[in-house]
Amino acid sequence: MTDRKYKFAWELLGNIEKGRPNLGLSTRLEVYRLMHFTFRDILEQHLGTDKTDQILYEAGKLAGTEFFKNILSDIKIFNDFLKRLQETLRDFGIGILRVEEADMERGTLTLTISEDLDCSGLPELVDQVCTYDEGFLAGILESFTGSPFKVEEIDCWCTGDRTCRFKAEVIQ
Amino acid sequence: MSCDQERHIADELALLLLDTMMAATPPEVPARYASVDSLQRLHADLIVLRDFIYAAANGDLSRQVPLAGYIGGALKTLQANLRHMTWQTKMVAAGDLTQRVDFMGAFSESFNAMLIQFDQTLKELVRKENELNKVNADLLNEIAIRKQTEATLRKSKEKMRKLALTDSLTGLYNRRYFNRLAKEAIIRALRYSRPLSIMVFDIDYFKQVNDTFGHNYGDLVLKEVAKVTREVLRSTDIPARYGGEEFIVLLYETPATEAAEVAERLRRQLEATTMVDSEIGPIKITASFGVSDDFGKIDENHGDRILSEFVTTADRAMYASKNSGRNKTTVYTSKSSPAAAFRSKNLIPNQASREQGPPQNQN
Repeated sequence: MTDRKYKFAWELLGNIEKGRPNLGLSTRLEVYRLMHFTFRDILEQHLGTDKTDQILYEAGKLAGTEFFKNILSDIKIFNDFLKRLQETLRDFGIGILRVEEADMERGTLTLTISEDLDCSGLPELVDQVCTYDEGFLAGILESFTGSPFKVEEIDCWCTGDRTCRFKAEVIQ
Repeated sequence: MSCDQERHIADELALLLLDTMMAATPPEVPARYASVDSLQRLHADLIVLRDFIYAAANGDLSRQVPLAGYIGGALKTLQANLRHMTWQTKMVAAGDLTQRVDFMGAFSESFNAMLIQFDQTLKELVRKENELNKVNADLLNEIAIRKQTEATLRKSKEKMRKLALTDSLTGLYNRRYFNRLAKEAIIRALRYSRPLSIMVFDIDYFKQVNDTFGHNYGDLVLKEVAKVTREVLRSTDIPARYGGEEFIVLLYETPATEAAEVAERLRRQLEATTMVDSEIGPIKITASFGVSDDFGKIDENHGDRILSEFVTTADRAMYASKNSGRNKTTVYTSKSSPAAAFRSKNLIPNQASREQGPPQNQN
């Protein structure tokens, strides 16, 4: 694609403090979810469920990659990385990350996110909706390890599980 | 259906569900309710919950909770928390004491307090270990300094001992130490009837060396004489500077005839050696030798007197050499010597006489 209207860059998030001297850095969560799920709705109408999931996963992965590059890239030790990731996700209000398992020799992790930005508190639905989160975690893990990761949500608040559980595996 | 019938069915189902939750072996759904799908599902879910809770209570957190909804979700949250805590504990075991639990109420507080205590204790231990290491290093340093001081003292003591025993100019034993060795040798020779000789030699016309070349060259000559003496003598012979330009040698297990041969070898070597090359020419010397194996009275309780007489006999032989033209060896002999049996009858070529009278003073 040669004539793109917008190619994401971290700088394009802008100077929020300067731009919002009165309203500040935060906004209400409904607004985020309003945008997220209306996008999902329209995308799904135009492209179907699978394509929509793919787009959200890729968008989340781009976000995770950029997030790592700009927030977490100074860490080199895996355990330090996990600890910092926990702190950062909490500080940013994204969710409370907990590690159930982390076996980097086999390249597998099981993570849970409570109070998740996307889905905690949602009414019970048939399908899991944290596709963007899957991509986000994949982008972060790939950026840290240098290996491609596949992340899949295996339990989700909105399917009645009260916490979101993700399984991450290195793609061999 | 009457109210009584309805109450009976409700009571039966409630008991079935209570037993499913509480009995050690859960009951089956009665056949008459087999077609009620919601009851079958509820019963199956309760069985699954029983199994999961039992496994979790016994430490197995790996089972999946196949239920959704409030109870299933709550159990999944509990499972996730416990599994995360397990992972945190592994991190603590690996040395990360910064882990904190924030989701288990009072347990979290206790766990975190324990880690803080661990951390403080560990830091205190590390601090004390560092202090101990420092004290240990200081002690090792102190020991090293003391060892060095001891070594220096030993060296110094050895040096002092050597200075006390040797002549500082020539490095040969001094007169006092020679006398000590000689007295011990005389006592042993007397006790075991073994031969023992003393050789005395004096540099001829040494005063002329000093007068002609100066005292510095005189000292160099004395040093060279000592060097030649050490080279020519046998390893068992004990040379010493006896005073001025006079030297003395103790020869163990040696009768006078053999001592005279040693003296002759030394005399010839001294004569052949250029002692020093001075500005006005090479300095050469000769020496007059006296040899004796006659240590007189056989009384080992009077070592000093015996030694004095023994040295005097060798001196007398040396002065006999002086008086008869110098650069000679003279042997002093006496029939009374206990070592007489070991003497050779052969006289050496430069021998002036076999027995001499009192010595005369001259160089």
